[in-house]
Amino acid sequence: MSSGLKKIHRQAANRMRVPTLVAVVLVLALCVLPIWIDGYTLNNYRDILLLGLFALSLDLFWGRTGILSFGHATFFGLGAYGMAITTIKLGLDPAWASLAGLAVGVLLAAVVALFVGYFILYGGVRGAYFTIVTLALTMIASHIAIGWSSMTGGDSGLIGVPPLSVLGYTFYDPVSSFYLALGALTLCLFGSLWVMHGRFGLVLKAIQDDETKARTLGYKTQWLLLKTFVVSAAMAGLAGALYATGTGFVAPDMIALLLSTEVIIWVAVGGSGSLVGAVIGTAIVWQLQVKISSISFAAWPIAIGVFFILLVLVFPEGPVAFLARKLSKLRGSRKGEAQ
Amino acid sequence: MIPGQPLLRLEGVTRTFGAFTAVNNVTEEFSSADINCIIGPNGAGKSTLLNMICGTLPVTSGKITLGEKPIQGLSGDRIAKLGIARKFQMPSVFPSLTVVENLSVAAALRGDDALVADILSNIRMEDEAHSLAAELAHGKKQWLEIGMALALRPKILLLDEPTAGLSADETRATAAFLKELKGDVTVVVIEHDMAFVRDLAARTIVMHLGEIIASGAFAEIESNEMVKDVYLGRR
Repeated sequence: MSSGLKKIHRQAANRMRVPTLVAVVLVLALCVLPIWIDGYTLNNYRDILLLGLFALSLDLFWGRTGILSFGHATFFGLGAYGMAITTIKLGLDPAWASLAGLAVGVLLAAVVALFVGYFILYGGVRGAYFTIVTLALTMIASHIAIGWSSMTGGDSGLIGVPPLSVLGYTFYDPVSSFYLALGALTLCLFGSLWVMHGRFGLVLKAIQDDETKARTLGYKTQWLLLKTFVVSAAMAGLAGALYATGTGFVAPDMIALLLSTEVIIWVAVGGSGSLVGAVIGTAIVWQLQVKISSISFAAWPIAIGVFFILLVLVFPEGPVAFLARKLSKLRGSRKGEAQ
Repeated sequence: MIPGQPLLRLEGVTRTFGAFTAVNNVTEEFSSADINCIIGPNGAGKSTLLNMICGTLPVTSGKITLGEKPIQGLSGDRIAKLGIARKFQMPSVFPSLTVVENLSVAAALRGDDALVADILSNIRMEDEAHSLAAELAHGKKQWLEIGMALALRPKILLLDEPTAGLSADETRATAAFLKELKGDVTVVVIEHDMAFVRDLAARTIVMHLGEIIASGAFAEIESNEMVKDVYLGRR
């Protein structure tokens, strides 16, 4: 291998180092968390981890292709409803119903993403148009969830989703369900970091820069984007299905536009493209939501709206990148003054 | 690839945009391992012709054959895999990747990593190997894009104005570099710099209003009365 190529791999490894180190520290810290935390709080943390997995799924697509999906709650909701309908409505053997529900939820999300993604990505829909089409997808999915009440429970949703049971072991108590969520997140996080910092991630970055150019180099860009979209949707479906087993119910707000908006903010706060940032962003915003909602329940949607406006007008690259840019500017001007 | 044998054939190739005919019934052959220049005034249809060859633009009618294989209607990625590489008129590199990453992405589908180091040396960009492509000077971007096209190990290299924005020295170096490719790759260059075209001493095709009006050695083209009237001018 030439020295130039060795350096490429070294650079890729260096770029991977910071997010991977942050991810390792985060996972290790989370591993020991159940020692100090009570069951109720641990359930909250489990939910944050699964929502973090959901945010990771969006970052995998948005952060790496530059194409914003405003419909990711559809895939989270399909995972959750797939799990709930399979376990509650189909009358399957409880020993493996939840496992079947998990498979149905993930597959449902992947198949819908494959179908919708095929038409919009091969149809050349990109940028703001992609965002609008996926926004419409969430609205359709949300209407179906509310309207098809015989299957989905309508506005009330479905109650009684059992905890996940694998080979006779049930993730019932807060500690085991927390570790289940942590295991799923860890697997998806490190898998995503590994793939996205390799050659596939480099090609996606190239497509983000100039898709026409990438095509003239021989890349089937639509297929690569579709693959990423489907994997991202399947991951969102996994998060949704596990979330339903943790909370024990599904409701239309798990497939609603507000959730699609919130997940964009979680990723933006953590810094889109870093993958681990999506998980951290979710935790930060979740804590903020708890604090703000405790002051006034109506204040949270207002706060999220204001943040969205700021995101568009003040820091379109995300608050983390915005702060990093300001800091480096400040450092540069101090250096200039010192000289 | 046998030098001198026809490699790329255009038969009655036409492209219209509504009522406007950008390329009109062009029939031409490009031989293996040869260098060809296409010249002509702006709007002559040169870039449109290249766009149709590399699949960026579909043909309205006519046939394009690579070897024995018809390629009109194939997607850009398929045509690239068949061995046609293209450099765009405006430097088209991946700005957020480094020089060596740009070359690596281009070479990846061929699975030929060693090629990256060779090309880096051929395009004389070892010193900028780890600079972001966005930070390169215009001329370096042109060279990088040529390098990316070569990383595909193409049978045919289509270059749209490779010397645009280059200094006189860089232009001479580009001509010398392209001449070195003769015998290995069929090169088709669109160019407006007549000193560069003269330096290449290649077969020259003149386009005007979507049609080929002359072709042959550059010395013949320079003395062609019609070409003088529509493009080169009279001294």
